[in-house]
Amino acid sequence: MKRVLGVALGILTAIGGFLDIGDMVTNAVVGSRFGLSLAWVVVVGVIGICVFAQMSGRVAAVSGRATFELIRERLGPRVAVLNLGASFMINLMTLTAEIGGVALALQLVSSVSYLLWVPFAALAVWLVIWRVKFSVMENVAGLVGLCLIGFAVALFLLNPDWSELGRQAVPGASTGTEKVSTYWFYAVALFGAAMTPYEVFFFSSGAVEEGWTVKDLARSRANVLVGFPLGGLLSLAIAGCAAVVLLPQFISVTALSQVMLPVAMAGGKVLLALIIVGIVAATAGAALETTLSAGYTIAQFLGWPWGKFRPPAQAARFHLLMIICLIVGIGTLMTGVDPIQVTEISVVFSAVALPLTYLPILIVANDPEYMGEHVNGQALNGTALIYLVIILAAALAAIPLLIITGAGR
Amino acid sequence: MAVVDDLELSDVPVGQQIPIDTPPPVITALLSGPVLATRIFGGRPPDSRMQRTPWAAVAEVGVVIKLAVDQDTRDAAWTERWVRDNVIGRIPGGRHVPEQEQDDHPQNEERGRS
Repeated sequence: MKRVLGVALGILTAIGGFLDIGDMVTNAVVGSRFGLSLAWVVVVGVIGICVFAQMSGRVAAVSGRATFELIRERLGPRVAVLNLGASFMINLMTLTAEIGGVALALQLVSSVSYLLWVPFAALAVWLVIWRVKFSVMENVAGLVGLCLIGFAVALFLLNPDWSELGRQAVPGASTGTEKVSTYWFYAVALFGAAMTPYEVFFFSSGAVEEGWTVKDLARSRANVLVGFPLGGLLSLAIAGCAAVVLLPQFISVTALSQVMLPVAMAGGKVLLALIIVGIVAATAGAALETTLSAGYTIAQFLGWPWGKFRPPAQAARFHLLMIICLIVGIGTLMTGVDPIQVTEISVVFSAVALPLTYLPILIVANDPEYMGEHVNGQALNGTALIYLVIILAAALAAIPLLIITGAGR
Repeated sequence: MAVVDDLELSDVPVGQQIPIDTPPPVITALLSGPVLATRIFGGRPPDSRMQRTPWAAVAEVGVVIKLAVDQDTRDAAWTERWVRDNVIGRIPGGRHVPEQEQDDHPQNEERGRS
């Protein structure tokens, strides 16, 4: 059991990264419009995040410092502040969207307007950050979020034509009635969603929270190799369900209820209830991850004491910052902005911020002063460099595609 | 506790001949202060805006500099103390100590120069 819980950090990071409210809806949108023809992007994204999370986890375990602390030290405040600015804005947008997502999921259960749930959701997130031990938080959010396996169950229950799904998944299959530019816009969006910077900051800060040392390198690797592929598989299951049920009927996905339609059809009320529990846990997990990430990045950049392992009084500015972020989030949501649209935009901006985040990580992971004998091997460096090229391409293409396609219309 | 932003060295006369056997300058204090804008754009804040941590307080020098004194007494930690006493300390549960899971978390230290 301890082994299973030992990978909870990886699972929570992946859930918060791949399966937050925006990604769930994006995956369903992609499935309903493109079938599984964008599945290869999820695979590429999962491999990419595994490579970089593994590096940042190793950096945290060997040097005892989280990634962002080392970015400023190694690369100087100018580079770090660019990175920080981009990451913080994305974190803020995403945490706003996640609080909205928790409220939307609660609205589905209770038929009470989501605007009324927003303050409660934010308060609940804050209470967990304030009092709950890090390991308890990651275990509960991670494991309950795994209820999203219901989507995979639903996919099997729907008895799809597997050969048809396989045919769609082959890269290069026709895009049907959709434009090529829209196809690539969603490719960039899915890639940005898989490799969002806050995943890496949360994972490495979480490694420090848990006190990982050189002895925990194998555990770090296990977290990465279990958590992120699992997140990727669940993303594909959501897209698959949409591809099987919504695509043939040309049903477009604009709300959370449509994401869950295939599950309701496949497994009835029981499976639907399981999914809703999973969605609440996953969006809450994502809200926790992004709020904590916002705190971690600023505190680590400015040299403040940070961490949930400290009593709040000993990490006062860290906690105050997160409280302010949550209040800003509540305020933004109360203006009535659609939380799902907020994440879809923030995912695209994540793609733009990717090179600023991942190049420093690669540099730090190769630095013998911090890593001693645990610097990157040649193979890892080679893969990471290939990914940097892909990341750069995605970053350059993101904004033009956003404009050309009108955010995927 | 804070980021080391500058070092205070013992006096070195400028523009004069220095006798050959003069000892080299030594670090007398670590300085921390509002340097973010000046590091990015240029220049430096005046000495009166920087908080001093005397070198006598330093216990160990590595990737981080560990101090031998309680950080609560340091001027450089004043914003943290202020937020703790006036904001966070007043919220219920603010001083609650979560169970320690490991003992090797960094405590009481300054990070090296960036």
